[in-house]
Amino acid sequence: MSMRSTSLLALLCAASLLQGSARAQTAAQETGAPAATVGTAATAGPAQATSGATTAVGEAQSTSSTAAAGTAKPAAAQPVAMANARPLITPATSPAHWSKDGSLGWFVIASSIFLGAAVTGFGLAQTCPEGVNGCTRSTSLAIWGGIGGATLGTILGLVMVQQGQARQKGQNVSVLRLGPLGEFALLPSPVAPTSH
Amino acid sequence: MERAGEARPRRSSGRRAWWLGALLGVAWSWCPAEAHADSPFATPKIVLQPAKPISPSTVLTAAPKLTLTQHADDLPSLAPPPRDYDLALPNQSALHYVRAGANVLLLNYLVWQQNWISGREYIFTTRRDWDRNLKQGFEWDKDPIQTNFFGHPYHGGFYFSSARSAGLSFWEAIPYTLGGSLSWELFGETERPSVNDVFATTLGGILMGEALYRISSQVLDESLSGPPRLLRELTAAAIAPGRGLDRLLSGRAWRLDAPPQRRYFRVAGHFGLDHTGDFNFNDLSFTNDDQLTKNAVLAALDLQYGDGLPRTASSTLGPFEMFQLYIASNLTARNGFEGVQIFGDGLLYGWSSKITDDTDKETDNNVLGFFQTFDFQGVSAVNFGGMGFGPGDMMIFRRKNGSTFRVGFDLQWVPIFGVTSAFTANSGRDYNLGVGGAFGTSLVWDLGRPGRLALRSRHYLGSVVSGAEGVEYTSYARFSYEIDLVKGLLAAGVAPTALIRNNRYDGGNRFEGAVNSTQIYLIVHN
Repeated sequence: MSMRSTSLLALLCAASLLQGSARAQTAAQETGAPAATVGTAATAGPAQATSGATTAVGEAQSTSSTAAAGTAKPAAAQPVAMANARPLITPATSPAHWSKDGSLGWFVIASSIFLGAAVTGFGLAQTCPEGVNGCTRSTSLAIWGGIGGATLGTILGLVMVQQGQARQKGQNVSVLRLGPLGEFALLPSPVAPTSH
Repeated sequence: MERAGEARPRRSSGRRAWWLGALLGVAWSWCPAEAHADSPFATPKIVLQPAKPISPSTVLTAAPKLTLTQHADDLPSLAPPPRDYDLALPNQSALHYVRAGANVLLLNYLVWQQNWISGREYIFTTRRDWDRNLKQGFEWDKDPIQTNFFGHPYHGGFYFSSARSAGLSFWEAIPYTLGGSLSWELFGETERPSVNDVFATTLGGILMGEALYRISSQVLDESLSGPPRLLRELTAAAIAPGRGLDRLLSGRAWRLDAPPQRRYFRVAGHFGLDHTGDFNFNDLSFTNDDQLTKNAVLAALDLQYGDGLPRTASSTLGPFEMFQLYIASNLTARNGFEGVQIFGDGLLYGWSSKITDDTDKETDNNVLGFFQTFDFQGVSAVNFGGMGFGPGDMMIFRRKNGSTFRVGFDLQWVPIFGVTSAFTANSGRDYNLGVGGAFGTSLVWDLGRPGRLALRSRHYLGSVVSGAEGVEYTSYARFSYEIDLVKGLLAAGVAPTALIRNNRYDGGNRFEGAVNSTQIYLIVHN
């Protein structure tokens, strides 16, 4: 392998490393948690000063009272962190903020109710012969199917809205979901009682 | 032509660059999962946390320690305090109430859809059926007594627990139970809405729903993850399906949070024999041996929740902070519900006062309050069911050696009860429906090593509102004695039960007699 190709390979690996670090930073900032990456910690020597080495992963949700405390950055560490940080992207300007603050949930609710009401209304508008027949079977499915779709969409949308509101209040616990196998939480940074 | 020495530096620099690239590549692979979340080889099972709490003013000079952890208890300093899973969520917003309503409607839809798939024609509702149900109003239905006094209360428990799981309190969940029942009766069936179904679903659903909700809280542990968490979530969902559905849709089923506050909770599983003795009723049709299973295999659960002591400084006890529930079934009976016994009573609200000056574990207290009860007796010869609520009192004495003595009584208004009878007029049922009152007593004497005595009796008296007009009197008494074979694990017990009927109908008809049964069983308990 020539030196040129090996150097190019090294540059590509370094670029990937920097890109991964930047994405971790951005994800952390969007969720409000202090950010550090294993890669930068492993190779950058002195770690960034934070109140705890956590990395924001996936969606954030929390009811823990320690979460809010855990997201606070120590004052003394901020200059170091800010020197190494990319420009902050606030939730309001993030291109995906509408999916973070729960706005998408309202859309899900509204569209589910609209579609469900339409299907149920269509079913109610039908007139079937007296007795039990194929018409009553399919018409009842339309009526109750619309109700079921509307309620399911409403529930899911409400959950999205409530999670967005929790996020807005700074209640964040970054989590990694593995479905039914459970959830692995990136615990909020511990803040020991100050004793100066 | 190159000299040999000049070629060596070129090969060394290329090799160094290659190794540098490889090292950077390895470092890239250790980037957090979200940095290359689209990679199929993302490793999510990494938790980053410091080895110990760090002062905010401390600047880290070393890389944080990586550990693999799956339990909040791995870091005791970070573990949140236990939380009462039965309390309503704080800072409720209108969204919680809307979600509770949506939960109830979704449950109705799921039950409806299951019936539609099964081809049950009475749920093929159209606009015509909705109009007719709204115009014609309610009636007393003709469903079997098992459906009305077991099936409907259990279904009502689904509504109740789903509303509780959405974050509502006990009292706030009651209207949702009523609403779920009304919406089903009016819009879910082609038959006219049933007034006894609304009563049974709502009243029975409150007791069954809250009791099963609190039992499921004792199973759940939101601080766990992985297979233990999955097993607990599935078990809790089996106990309270409405709660399980809400936890699945909301994501709480896999969200990490605080562990639960544990309550006094005694659960005992019974397994043995149920022998029905000779009985004598003046109507011979009920003494047909073909209708009776003399001996059957018994399986039962006996649950006692709450120690009766107030948890707040106000010396009050909230809804169902103390209740007992007994569910038994004869597994080998001909009819699936033959020999089924379900009785439960729970405190709705109580005021506690000390009886003696004893303190701590020997505190003796009296609880005066309002209680709710539920009964369903499916003894083959006679079936009856009832539910009511009213004032009552309970005294609890405790000793240092752990023995306790509980005695209580209550007087209840019974808005709905049903009793099988040979005389039901033209109701189309084999049982009469009535309204009345009930008086109940209970005694539990836990002697410790000598054993555990219990006595429960209830007496129903009311007038028939649908069926053969007259007065119905039905009472039962169940005595039990249990003794530990292996302390804290295995016990044996015997429980004779007597049931008495004395009914007077207009026109001079009467229906009176008695039947007794005896249970002998092994007990596995905590």
